[in-house]
Amino acid sequence: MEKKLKRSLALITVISILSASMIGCTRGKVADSQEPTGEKEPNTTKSDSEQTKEAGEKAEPVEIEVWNVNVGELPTEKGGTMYNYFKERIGVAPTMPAIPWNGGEAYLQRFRPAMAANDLPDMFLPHGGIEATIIENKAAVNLKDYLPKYAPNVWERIPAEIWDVIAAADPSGEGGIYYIPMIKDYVDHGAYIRQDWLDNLGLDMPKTRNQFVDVLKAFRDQDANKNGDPDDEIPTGGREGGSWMDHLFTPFGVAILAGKPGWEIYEGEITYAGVTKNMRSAIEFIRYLYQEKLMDQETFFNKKKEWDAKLYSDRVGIYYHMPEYAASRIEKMRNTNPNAEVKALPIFDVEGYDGVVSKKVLKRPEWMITADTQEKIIACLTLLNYLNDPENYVDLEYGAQGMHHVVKDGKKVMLEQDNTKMECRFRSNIISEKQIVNRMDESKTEEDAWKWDMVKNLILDTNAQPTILSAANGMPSSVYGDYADIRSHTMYKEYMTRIVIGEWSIDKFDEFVEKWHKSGGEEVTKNVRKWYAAVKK
Amino acid sequence: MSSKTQDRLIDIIIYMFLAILAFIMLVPLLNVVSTSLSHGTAVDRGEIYIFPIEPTLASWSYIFKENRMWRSLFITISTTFIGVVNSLFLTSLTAYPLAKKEFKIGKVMMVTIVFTMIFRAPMIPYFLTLRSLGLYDSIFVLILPHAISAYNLIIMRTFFKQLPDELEEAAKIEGCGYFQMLFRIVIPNSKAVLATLGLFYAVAQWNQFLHPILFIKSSKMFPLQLLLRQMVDGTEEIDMVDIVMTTMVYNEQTVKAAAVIFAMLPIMMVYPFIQRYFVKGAMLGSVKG
Repeated sequence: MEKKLKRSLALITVISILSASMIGCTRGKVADSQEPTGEKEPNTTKSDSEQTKEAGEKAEPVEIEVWNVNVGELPTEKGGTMYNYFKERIGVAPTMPAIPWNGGEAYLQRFRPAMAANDLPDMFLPHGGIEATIIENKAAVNLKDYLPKYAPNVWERIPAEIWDVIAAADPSGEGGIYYIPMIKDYVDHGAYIRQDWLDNLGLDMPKTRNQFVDVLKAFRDQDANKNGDPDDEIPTGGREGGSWMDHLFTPFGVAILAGKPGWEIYEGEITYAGVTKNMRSAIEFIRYLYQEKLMDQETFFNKKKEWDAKLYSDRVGIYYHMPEYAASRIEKMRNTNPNAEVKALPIFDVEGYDGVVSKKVLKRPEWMITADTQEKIIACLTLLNYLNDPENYVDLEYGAQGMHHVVKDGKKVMLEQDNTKMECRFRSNIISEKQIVNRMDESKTEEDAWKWDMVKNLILDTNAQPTILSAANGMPSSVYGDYADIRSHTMYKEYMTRIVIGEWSIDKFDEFVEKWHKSGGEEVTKNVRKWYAAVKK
Repeated sequence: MSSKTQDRLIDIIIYMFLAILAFIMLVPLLNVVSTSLSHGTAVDRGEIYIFPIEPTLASWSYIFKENRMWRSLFITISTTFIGVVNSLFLTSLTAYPLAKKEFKIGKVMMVTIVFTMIFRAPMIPYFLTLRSLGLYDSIFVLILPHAISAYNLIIMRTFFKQLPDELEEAAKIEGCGYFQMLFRIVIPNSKAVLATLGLFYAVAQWNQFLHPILFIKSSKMFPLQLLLRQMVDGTEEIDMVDIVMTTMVYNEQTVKAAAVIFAMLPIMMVYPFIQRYFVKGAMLGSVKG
C-alpha cells in the first residue's frame, strides 16, 4: 500500500515536471518562430521587393502595432508576409494580432484592460463608441497638424465638412482631430428583387405603393420560382429586431440603417426618426403586410442563418442587403435556381411622403493613434497615406503575391479566400463607388463576368435612387450620455415588433413616443440638437 | 394488476420519458454533427436536421489538415492536464487543514475564501496584477490563475470532514505526521471526490475563454476555444467580408460545425471513464457546506 502510494506520487511529480518543461520548450519555440527567418520569407515577396527597390527601401523599418477587425484571418506578425510587404514599400512594418471579433464584443474585452494598463497599440480601430472616452482623457494624438503633412491622401480625400464634424466632437472645444473616419461616398445598403420571379409572372418593376403590394401578393399567391409549389414563396421579410428590412421604411422618409432609426431633419429640426409620424405610417404599413402574410411570418425570429437559408433555397422575392457583398449570395441562389437574377428595387412612391435614403458618408471612426514617439506617429500616418493613395488601390486589393494572388500569363489572379492561409489585407478607409466598381471590372474573368456585372448594376442602381446626406454624419456617441437604452433602440424595437405582429394596436405608437421622451429621449434630443448647432456654425 | 406489473409499467414510462428527454438534448448535437458531414449547398439551404444530406468528409479533411487546430489542441490538452494535476494537489493541500478542528485559523480562512466567491476582483486591477506577475502572453496564465477554485475547495473540505476520525487516529498512534496522513490515508480514500473535482477543473480549463482573450497575444499560443471563436467569426461576420468558396463541397458553416465537434470531443470522451466516481463524489460533497 505504502509502496503503491509512493509510486503514484512519484509518477504525478515526474509527469508534472515533464509537462512543465515541455510547455517551456514550446514557449521557446513560439518565441523563436516569431523572429523573421529565411524560410518564412516566401519567394513570392522577392518579386515584390524587386518591384519596389527603385522606390527606395529604408534600411531601418519603423515597427508599429495595429489593431483592427479580424474575421478569422492569420495575424500579421514580425517577419510575416504583410509585415514585409509594407516594410519593403514604405519602410513601415506593421504587426496586427488576431483578436477574435465576436461582433466587436471580444475585441472590446481585450481592448479595455489594455487601455487601463496604458498598453494600447500604436494605431487601432476604436470600436463601440470607446473613442469618446479616449478623446475625453486626451489619450489619443491630435492629428490636426500631422495629417496635411504626413497623410495628404487622407487629409485631401476626405471632404472638409467631415473634418469639421470630427473637430466639433472635441469636448475641449479646441477643434482637435482625434480620429480618422471610414468614409464611403456611396449608399452601401439597398433592397433587391428577384427579376426572374417578375419575369415568370409577367410583372413590371413596382414603382408605387400599390404596385409594390400587388407584386407581393403575386409572389404570395403564385408559383413565382416555378418549382411547382405555389405556397413556398416568401414575398419579403427581414431579421429579428426588424433589421434588414429598411426597404419597408425608406419609402415613408424614415432615416434608418439596418433596422436602427437614425437622426434626420424633420419639421426643420434634427429628430430621432423612430418617433416621427413617418415612422408611425411605416409601421402601420408593415403591420398590414404582416397581417396579409405578404412578409415572412418568422421575420422577428429570423437570425442570419435562418434568413440566409430562405434566400438560398429560392424562397424570398425581395430582401435587403449590402450590394458589394452580393456575389456569393447570388451564386448560392443559383445553386438552387440556375435562373436566379437579382435587380435593385427602386424606392416606391407613397402619397404624402418623400421616400429617400439618408446616406451616412462617415461610417465609423476607423483609426486612432496613441503611439508615443514622433517617429511612430509619422509611421502610422505614412501607412494610412499609402493605403489611401488611389494609385495603390488595385495593388492592395490583390494583396501579397503567393498569399492572396498568383501571376498567370503575366496577369494577377486572385486566390480563393482561405482565412487559414491568408493574412488580413490592409485596406483603404476611404472607399468610393468608383473604386468598388473598378475592382469588379478588374478582377472578373470570362466565366464569372455575369456575376460581377450583376453586382455592379446593383451598386450603380442603388446609388441612382434619391439620397440625402445624413444630418447625423459623425455624431459622437457622447450625445447619448448615460442613456444606453436610447442608443440601442431597445424600446423602439419592442413597440415596433409588438405592433407589427398585431399584439398591440397602432395607437400604442403614441404611447411609445411619450415614453421614449420621458425615459431619456428628451435629454438626448437636446444633446443632439446642441451638437448639430455647433457643427452648423 | 399485480404490484410487479405496476412497477414494470412505471419503469417503462420513466425510461420512455428519459429516452425522449435524452433525444431532445441530443438533437442540437446531432444537427451539428450532420452539418459537419453534409454538402455545403444543403447546409446553405437550411435542409439539415438530424441526418446529413449528400454526406461528405470534406470539412473534416479540411480541419485535419489545419495545423492551427492541432497546435491549439496540443496547448489545450497540455494546459488542461497540468492544470488539473496542479489544482487537485493544491486544493487537497489547502482543504485538509481546513477540515481539521485543531486548525485554529481555519474559520477565518474559510470566511476569506467564501469572500472571494461573492466579491470578484474587478477586471482592470486583476489584469494589471497578472500582468505585473509576468503572466501576459505566457502559457502559464492558462494554468496558474485557476489553481484553486473556492467552490471546489469547499466540496473537498466537506468530503475530508466526513472521513471517519478513527482512520487517522490509528495512523497517528503509529507515528504519522499530518503530511503522511494526507498522502497515505486521506487521499487514497478520496478517489471519488478527486475524480469529481478533477472533472470540474478539467472542464473549466478546457473551456476557458476570458483568460486567453485577455492575456494571450501570440496566435501560436491560442488554446482551442479561442481559435474556434476566431474561426466562427470568419463565418458570422460574412456581412462584412465576401468570402466565396464556390468550387468546394464544404463551406464556412460545415467547417465551423466540424471545428465545434473537434473542440468538444476530447473532453466529452473523459466523462464515461469517471462517471462511476462522479455521481458518488458530487453527492458526497453536497451533503453539508
